[in-house]
Amino acid sequence: VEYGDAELVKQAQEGDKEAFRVLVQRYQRRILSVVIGMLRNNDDAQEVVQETFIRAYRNMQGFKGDSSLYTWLYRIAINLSIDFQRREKKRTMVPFDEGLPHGDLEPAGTSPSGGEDPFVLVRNRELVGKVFEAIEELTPNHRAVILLREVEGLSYEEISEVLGCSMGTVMSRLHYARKKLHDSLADAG
Amino acid sequence: MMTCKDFVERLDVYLDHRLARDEQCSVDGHLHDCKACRRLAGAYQERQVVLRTAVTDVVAAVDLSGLWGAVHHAIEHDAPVSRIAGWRLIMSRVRRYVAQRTMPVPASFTPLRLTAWAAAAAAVVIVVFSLGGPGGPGAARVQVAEQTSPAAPVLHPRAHIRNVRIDSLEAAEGHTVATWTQTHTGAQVIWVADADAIPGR
Repeated sequence: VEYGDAELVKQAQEGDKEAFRVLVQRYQRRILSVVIGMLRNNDDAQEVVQETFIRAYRNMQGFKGDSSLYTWLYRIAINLSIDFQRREKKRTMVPFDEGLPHGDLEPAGTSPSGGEDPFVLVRNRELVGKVFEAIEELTPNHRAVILLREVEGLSYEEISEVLGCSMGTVMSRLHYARKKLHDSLADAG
Repeated sequence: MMTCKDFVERLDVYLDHRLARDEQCSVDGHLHDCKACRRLAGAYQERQVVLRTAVTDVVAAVDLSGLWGAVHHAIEHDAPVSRIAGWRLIMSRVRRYVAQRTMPVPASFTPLRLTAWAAAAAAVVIVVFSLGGPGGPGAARVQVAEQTSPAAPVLHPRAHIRNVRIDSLEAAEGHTVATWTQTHTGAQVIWVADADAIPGR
C-alpha cells in the first residue's frame, strides 16, 4: 500500500520514523536537485539535504498541511542553502567556487567510461559547466526561482508559496533569471 | 496583429504554457511568420532543456543510499548534522584539498574501499614519526606510508620525511586520514588507515 503524503505526515507527527523514512526517500532527489543547483557542490548539497530533513522532522508538529509537504520542504532547503552560502562566504576557508572542472559535480554521461564519443563528452561537459557558471552568476533568489520552475516544474503559485513572495515577484524574478541565463550562455558561445 | 515586441513581452508565459487560448493562437501565428522570434523562443526552450538535463544528470549520479541512515541517526540521537556526516565530510575535504593542489585523486578513493587502502598503506610503511610537537598535548604517532596508486606521488626514504609538512590529520569512524606535502617537491600525499593500525594510539 502506498500512502499519500498527508497520511505519512500524520504518522510521522505521531513519532513513526518509518513513515518519515518513506517521505525522505520520496523527496530526497527533488530536494537535492534544487540544493545542488543552489550550492554547486555535491558534498555541501548532501549536507544541506540531510539538515533539511532533520529540521523537517523536528518541526513536523508545526506543519499544518495548509501547503503541500514538498513546498514546505523546498522552503526549508532553500533557506538552509542561503544560510550555508552566507556562512561559507564568511568563513572563506574553503573556496566556494568548485565548479565542474575541479569539484565534485560530475553529471552522468560526462565521464569517459569507455565507448562514448569523446567530442560529445567534452561538449556536454562544457555545456553543463557553462550552465552552472551562468546559474552561479544569479542571486540566490533568482537562482531559487529558476531552479524551482525549470528543473522542478513548480507552478508560479507553488513558487510564491515556497519563497514567501507574490506571484508578480516570482514572474519578474523568473523573467530576469531566464534572460540572464540566456545572455550568459549566448556570450559563452 | 501581434508584433515582435508583443511576443517578447509574452515570452515567459508562452514558455510556461500559461497563455490564454486566444493569445496562444496569436503567438502561434506570429511565430509562424517571424523567423527571429521563432529563433528566440527556440533558444530559450533549449536553455530550459539544458538546465533541466544538467541538474538531473548531476543528481542522478549522486549516491543517496546513506542519507536516511544519517538523518535517522541525527533524529534518534539529537545530533547536529556535522557529526553524523563526519566521515563523509572529512573525505570530501581531503578530496577538495588535493584537487585544489593538482594531484588527481584516484576515482577508486572512496570510503567503501578504505580497508583495501589501509591494507595497502600498512604494507609499505617506511617510518614512524611524531606529530604535533614532541610531547605536545595533541601528539600522536603516525605511520607514514608510501602510496601504491600509480597516480599518487611516492614518499621516499627517511631523509625526505624531514621535509614533510603535515596539512591535516583527522580521525573518524575508526579511520585516520592524513594529508601532507613534501616541501621540497611540492608533492601531496593522502594517507588512510584503520585507527587500530596506528601504534601508540
